[in-house]
Amino acid sequence: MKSDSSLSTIVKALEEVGAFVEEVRDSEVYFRVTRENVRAAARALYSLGAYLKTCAGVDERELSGLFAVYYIFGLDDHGVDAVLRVLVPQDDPWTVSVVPDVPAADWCELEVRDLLGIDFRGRLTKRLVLPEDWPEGVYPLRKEFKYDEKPPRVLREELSEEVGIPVGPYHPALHEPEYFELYVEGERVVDVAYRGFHVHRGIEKLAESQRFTYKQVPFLAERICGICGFVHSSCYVMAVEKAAGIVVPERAEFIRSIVLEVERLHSHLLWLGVAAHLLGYDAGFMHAWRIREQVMVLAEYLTGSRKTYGINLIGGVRKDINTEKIDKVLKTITDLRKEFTELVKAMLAVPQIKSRASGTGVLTKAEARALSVVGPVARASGLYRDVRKDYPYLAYKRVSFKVPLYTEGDNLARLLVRVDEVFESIEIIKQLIDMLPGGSVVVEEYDIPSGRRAVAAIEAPRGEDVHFIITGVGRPYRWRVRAPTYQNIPALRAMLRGTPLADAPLTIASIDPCFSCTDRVTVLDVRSGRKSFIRLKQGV
Amino acid sequence: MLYSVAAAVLSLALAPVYDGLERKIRAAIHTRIGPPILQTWYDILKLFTKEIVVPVGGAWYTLVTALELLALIASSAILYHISSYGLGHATLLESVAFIVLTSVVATLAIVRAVSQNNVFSVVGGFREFSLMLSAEPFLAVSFLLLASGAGSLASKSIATAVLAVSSYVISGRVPYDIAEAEPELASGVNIELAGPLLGLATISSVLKKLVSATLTALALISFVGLSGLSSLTAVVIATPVVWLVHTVVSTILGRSRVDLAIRFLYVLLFFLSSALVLSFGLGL
Repeated sequence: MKSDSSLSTIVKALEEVGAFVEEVRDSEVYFRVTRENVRAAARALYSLGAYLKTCAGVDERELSGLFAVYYIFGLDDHGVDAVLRVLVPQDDPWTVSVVPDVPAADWCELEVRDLLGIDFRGRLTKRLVLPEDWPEGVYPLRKEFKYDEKPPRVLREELSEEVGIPVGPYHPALHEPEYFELYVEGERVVDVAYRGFHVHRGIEKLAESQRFTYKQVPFLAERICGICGFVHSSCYVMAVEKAAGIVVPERAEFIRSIVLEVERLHSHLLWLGVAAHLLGYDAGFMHAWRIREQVMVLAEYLTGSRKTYGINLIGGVRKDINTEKIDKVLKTITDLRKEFTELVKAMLAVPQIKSRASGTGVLTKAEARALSVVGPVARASGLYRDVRKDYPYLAYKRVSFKVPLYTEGDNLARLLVRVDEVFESIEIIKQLIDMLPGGSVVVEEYDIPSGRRAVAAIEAPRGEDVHFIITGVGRPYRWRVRAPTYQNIPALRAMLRGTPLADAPLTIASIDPCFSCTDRVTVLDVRSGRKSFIRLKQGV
Repeated sequence: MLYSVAAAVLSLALAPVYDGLERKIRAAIHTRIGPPILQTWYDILKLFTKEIVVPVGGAWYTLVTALELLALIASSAILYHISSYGLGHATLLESVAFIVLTSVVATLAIVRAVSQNNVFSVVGGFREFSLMLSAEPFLAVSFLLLASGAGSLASKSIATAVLAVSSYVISGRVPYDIAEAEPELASGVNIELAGPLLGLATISSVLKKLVSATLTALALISFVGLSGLSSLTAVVIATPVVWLVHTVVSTILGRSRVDLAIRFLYVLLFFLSSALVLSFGLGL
């Protein structure tokens, strides 16, 4: 928290709308608010400049006999998280939605509705996360629902060939199952509908099950994402350490920071290659990935693994940096910088890159603010948001770096933000290695009391990754993960409107989404009103 | 005549090898090893061992695909026939036949694309149509002018430039591969093709590149003033060189967008055509 006056400002604003402080912990303030007043409280926070990080539903019936909904707001300017806790009786499970004032809460409220059975009043609701054939009235995040339970499938009339099937038509531009309905007029996109969550894995529920303990979850968390898995494991352990008050050795903090930046480097280079491929510039694609290979080797020098490093533990890291390889690391990043500079120069000289990325997929600053977008998407639209600066964590408070900021909000701006961030990451790694302190890398003895809460956030390559935890006995009582893509996908609707159909894949990819090569597109001719679907049997 | 037929057959057989060479050179620029030079032949032969799957839309789809290939073979043959005595000496009938065949190829490709019950293919077909409208008229005019043998060195040079640009467009390479545009349209016009039908389309695609390279080679050789067997030999040798230039150009550029491509082509070709008309008018 940047100052006591920050806290008093927030508390005063929320007390005026009937909320009261439940708990103050480090940079987090927990408020209790009634379901009738939650919208006013959210509005008050938004007027203070807060962004919605996420919301989470919790089955607290074993603790308080009630359900709870947590709205986690980040006040970047104050460096503090304000968490609104709304208690919901189990026999009348509803609360007032904050979506009319905070559009960014759209998906997380629907997720709470699907998984916990809490209804939200004052907004349109629909099924978001659960598959179409999931039975009504079965809520997987309720404690009585076993993690490996398989309810009987319910086939519905409305299930058609075009929707609800998590496999099928794929799109070479994207990399995981997802489904966009693009409404076009000629070659111009006029509207878009999205359906995702085809491969919802129930990881949060799994971590709460008997199969996992606190110490095992970091390895589960690292498998949330194949690209930025270390971000998730780091965020999880930080949340647990925060909740339990575990002080991590400084050397471990440095190691985590270095590996996080290595992960950013490989992620951005991967994305840059994909962007070049989408723009038909395969030479850029190949060279970006060739250069990225050096980063993979760098990761191997540092952690022993090219990817899925598996070094995070609660209380530190389980593997120290191999100091004999520090020289190799420094040489590699020096070479990397040189080659990356040449690549960027060549890429930006290709006329089609600039002409197609400029002015397409525009997200205005106002839209970015309303949707609480994160990472390069936010920074390309003029929002100065970076968790490393706003809520300094690990060793980031010790290093000097710039946060790239562009105001155009288009595909080119998002590309340039990532390019600049590669250079910044290289400098950060150099500084961290230079300042690497001695000492141990892990705390062996610690205690994790149950009933503690904490929010941890890390600036992942795609933006702010948030983990919220309520500690339990031997394992988390509730673990909520909000990946950055979750926050950025809703912005695609605004970004795709008016974009040429040819640039839609680039625009979708420009948020660096965590779904990939599988896609299904519906094209609607808005003049004739004729709607044609790409069907499974067409093998698209 | 015999030499022309031999040259045409040789070039048709070598076209997939040129394509293999293109893949190898592109791989080298990418710092990859790339496939063997005969890979395009291997691909074609493999595709013809697969079962025939007729896409939704009717069996005549196969006929259209085959006709497109036949038209390409015929247009290649005419080009080699013209090569045997030089572009400036082609008869009007030969020139018109070549132009008509080129238009037939483009039209059949569009018909094949839009006849499919697949929006990606349809979008690709309309993109093909837009490109055809942008490039074909300029290709026809410049070819007819060069074939007539009329005009000064300056006007012939400009006509050759127009022909080179418009023939590059019909080769379907980056930045004008927008009808196929793999990451955007998931192969667009070719999305429904598999097995032998894809094999036919692959040969057509390679022959389009051959026609494109041969056209430019033919126009360039006409400046040297060769005729007979030496002209034919020069064209056969110059074709892979032009192909190589096309390869490098396509590798260092990105894919255009249909609106940007059309705008660029109209501006460039209109500018060149205006210069051409001016040079004719002023007798330069």
